[in-house]
Amino acid sequence: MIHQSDRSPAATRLFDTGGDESLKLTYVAVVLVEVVVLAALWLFSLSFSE
Amino acid sequence: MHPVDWAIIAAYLTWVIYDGLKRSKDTDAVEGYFLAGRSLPWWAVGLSVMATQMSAITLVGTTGQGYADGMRFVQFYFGLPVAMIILSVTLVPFFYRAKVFTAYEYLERRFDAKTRVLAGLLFLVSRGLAVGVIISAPAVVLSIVLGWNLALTALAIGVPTTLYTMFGGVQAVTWADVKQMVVIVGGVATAVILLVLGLPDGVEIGEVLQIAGATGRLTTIDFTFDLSETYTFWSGLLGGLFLMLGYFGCDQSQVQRYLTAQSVDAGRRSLLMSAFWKIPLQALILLTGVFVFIFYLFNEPPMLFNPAHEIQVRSGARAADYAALEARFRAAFEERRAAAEALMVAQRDGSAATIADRREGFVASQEQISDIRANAIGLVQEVSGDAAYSDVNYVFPTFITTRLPIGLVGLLIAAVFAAAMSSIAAELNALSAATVIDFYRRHVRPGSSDRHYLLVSKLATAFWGVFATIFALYAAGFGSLIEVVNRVGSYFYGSLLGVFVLAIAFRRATANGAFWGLLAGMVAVGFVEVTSNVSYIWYNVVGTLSVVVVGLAVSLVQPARDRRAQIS
Repeated sequence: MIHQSDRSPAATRLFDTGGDESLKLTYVAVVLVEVVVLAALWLFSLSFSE
Repeated sequence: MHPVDWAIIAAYLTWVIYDGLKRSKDTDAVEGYFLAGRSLPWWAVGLSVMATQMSAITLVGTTGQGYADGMRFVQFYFGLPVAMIILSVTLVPFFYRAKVFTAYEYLERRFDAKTRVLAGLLFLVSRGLAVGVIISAPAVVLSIVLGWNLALTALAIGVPTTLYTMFGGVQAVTWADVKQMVVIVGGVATAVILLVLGLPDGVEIGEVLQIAGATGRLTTIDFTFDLSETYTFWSGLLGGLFLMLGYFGCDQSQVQRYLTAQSVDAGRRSLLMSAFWKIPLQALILLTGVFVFIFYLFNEPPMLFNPAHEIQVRSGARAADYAALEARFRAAFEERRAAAEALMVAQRDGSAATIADRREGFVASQEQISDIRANAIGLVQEVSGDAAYSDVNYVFPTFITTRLPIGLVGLLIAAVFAAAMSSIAAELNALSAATVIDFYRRHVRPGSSDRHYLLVSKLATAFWGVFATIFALYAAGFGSLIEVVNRVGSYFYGSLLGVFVLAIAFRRATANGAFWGLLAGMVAVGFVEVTSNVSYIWYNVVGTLSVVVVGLAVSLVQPARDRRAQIS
């Protein structure tokens, strides 16, 4: 059976980026790609809609 | 259907089921059955994450939405990439390092048993119903293609899926998902290529897109801020952000996917795959529906896409009215085709005024078609007594079976089958995990052997498979299936997300705060639904904020001694 005191959950951090050094650029890339995709969709919409 | 198409479908189903059953050899412990011993590569988990979200409803419902309503549905996913980044730096490492089987298991460690029970129950109820809806979508497809009744088709999908999930565990689920993504993307891409190649001689793609654009079907972004509208830029970006955080962060069917990854980083990368590809893929699927609309500009479509309802009306008291509508529909189709061709000629050589004039003529002819279809749908509703009748989900299956060449019919129907089975399998596996880990092992029979829990896990998978298949028979009568699934999730996801925000972000949050906050969140969502016309996509924001505010308030008014005890 698991008890509340089995671990120390209250000591957790909201943002845990430990071990993700290589992913920071990926996070930036995700945002940039989304901006580009949304801009492309918007331009597509403008081009073919009245 | 041609025997070649049957052979393709049979071969694909046999391959998926055989491969799934073969995986049972590697599943001789509970951790292997539910988490694959945390050994799967990030790309397989990433494809599984996408495949779990992209069920047959995506093919059947979204293409139908693209046909009938256009591409604005794509805005629904605008919050997804940011949600994936947030989850990658918060819940993914958190769950992974906590070594939990289920997301709700953590809630007992942080708060107490009753919060875990409530969260687990919410998951079981909402996803247990949702998986029934996911079965009913391809059941509808099959009932059209094979002429079987719905019960038989639901069984044909539900039983084999349950069997390979029951014996193969999460390994079978994940590798079936990988195959599913390949077949789905391949099938959709092939359909788009065929639709483009099938344009009438001399007609260019830009010209027909201009025509589709005249009807508003290529409007992808709407910057209107209206809380009652589901598909706007702001609804997708903000409301969708909370929905995706709730779905990918608190729904066991997704949490279990990235818990099977080899490492925290692998789990993160698996989610980020969706962040990159989900919106473009969704746009492609919607565009497929738009191309089906374009196809039917030059080729006469059926007035209604559900033959079963058509037969019912034809044999009823309103048969003469229906026949009259059909005659009007044929004339209106010819008129629309002529208007479309006239507009294309004007686009090549005409003045701006001529183009505007012919565009207006085309839009008027399209509205005439829409009016006739609306009248026909009204007739069906009257005859069948089904006030929510809609044939949107029948558009793409009808196109596949009546217009595609031999071989491709089989491929695309196999894609629908595969999409359904893989998503259902992931849901069944997660439902079984929550049932056994959060309830049976915790409350009914703690301390038994791993072998015993493995057996119970397989039985739980079987139970949920049977339940979902039976529920699917009722779900088939709902409106647009994809919206039904999203709506069901929205009632719970926001509140569940609020509890996890309390758990991780607020050290002062107590067990009582979390429990009452969770209840208050659902009451708040129910209140908003009953008293306003706010779109369901915003329910997640309402739920999350209500849980956090009420949860913190309850936590802070507790006596300090009780608070310390509950926080520890």
